[in-house]
Amino acid sequence: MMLLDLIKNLPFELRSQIVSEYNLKIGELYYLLEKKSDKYQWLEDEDVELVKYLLSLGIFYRRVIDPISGSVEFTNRVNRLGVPHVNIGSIKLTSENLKELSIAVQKFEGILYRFGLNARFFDFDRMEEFLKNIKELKERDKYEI
Amino acid sequence: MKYKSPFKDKNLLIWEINNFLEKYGSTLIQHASKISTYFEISCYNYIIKYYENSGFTIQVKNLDEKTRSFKYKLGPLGYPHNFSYFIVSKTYRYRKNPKTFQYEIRPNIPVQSKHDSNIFITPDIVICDNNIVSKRDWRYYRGMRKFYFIPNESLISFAEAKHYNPSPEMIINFIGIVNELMPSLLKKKNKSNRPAHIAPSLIVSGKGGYHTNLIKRSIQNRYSVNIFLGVFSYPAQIYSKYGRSKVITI
Repeated sequence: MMLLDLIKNLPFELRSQIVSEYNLKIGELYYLLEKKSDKYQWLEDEDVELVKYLLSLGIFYRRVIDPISGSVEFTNRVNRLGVPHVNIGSIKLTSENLKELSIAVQKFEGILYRFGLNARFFDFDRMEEFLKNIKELKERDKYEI
Repeated sequence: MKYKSPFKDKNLLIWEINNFLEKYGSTLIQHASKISTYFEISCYNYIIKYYENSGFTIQVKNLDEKTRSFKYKLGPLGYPHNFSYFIVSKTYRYRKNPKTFQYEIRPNIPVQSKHDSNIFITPDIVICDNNIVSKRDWRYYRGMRKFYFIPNESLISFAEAKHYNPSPEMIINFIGIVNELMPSLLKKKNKSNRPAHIAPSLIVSGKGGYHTNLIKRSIQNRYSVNIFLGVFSYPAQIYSKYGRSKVITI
């Protein structure tokens, strides 16, 4: 399962939240494919695996990468005010690990960007909305040589 | 720019993500246990940005004496004087007499209820006057330590951060906190004073659907509160200079 590759080393609680959100959305996906098969004819069998992969990527982005990106931004702010690091309980955000985290966030978002994906693409409530975004993505391929 | 296609280049996408995880996975895992705190810190940053974009100057206060680091307060326990916070200030020139307004923005500090002086609630982010009081009462912490809080009259505004998908119950529960701390905001639409402050705000990472957006609009029409949904993809809705007319102020 591709989702498990993304989350296998995360803490149990966070992993459970991600798996539960993923399973809920997969349930919705299969419901839509079964009940509204005409509407989703454009989705070929091999595309369903991609939808599942993008779904897991989106949940990982929202639940893991984005909050880390926010803490990097905050630490940058206090750095600009001459404060060398931020202590959050036992975790110390120093300029060294900040650099590492910044690069990680940039690399992740860079990969998404190269594939035409961004936060807005992954921000949805119902699977119908997500499938709409995916359809637009697929249609983009038609116009690109 | 010509984008790669996740449909045509699916294996390349998976390969790139796997490479990413191999290289940065251990870095991310070190921080994963603090994810919900990191979201809270992001929201703390958005509120500071809001004030900065409203013409306030910002200062960081109470850094750790030895290391000069910013110590973020994670919960209601802990003495406030051991943790860092921001001060925002703005000067108005009333004819020739300038007057400076100054406020503190503190994470996780207990605030006294408006209805009952023995009840305290700890919002994630508190905007307040410089007035923290303490009491030693055997009923709190078994009398082992002093209990520090912001008296209700010194509360200016507050915010709650939720790293979830919004639900109707989550939004309505927030109104319960507003009722306990600033009930006057639920009686009539307040006009903002000078300087204007961001109204009590619920900041939610998830976008929500038709029903939660309906609840958001209904509540914002009735009360002086902000419900920010979908902050994951649109954080600027809180602090943007261009969208500020949409932010409710008090």
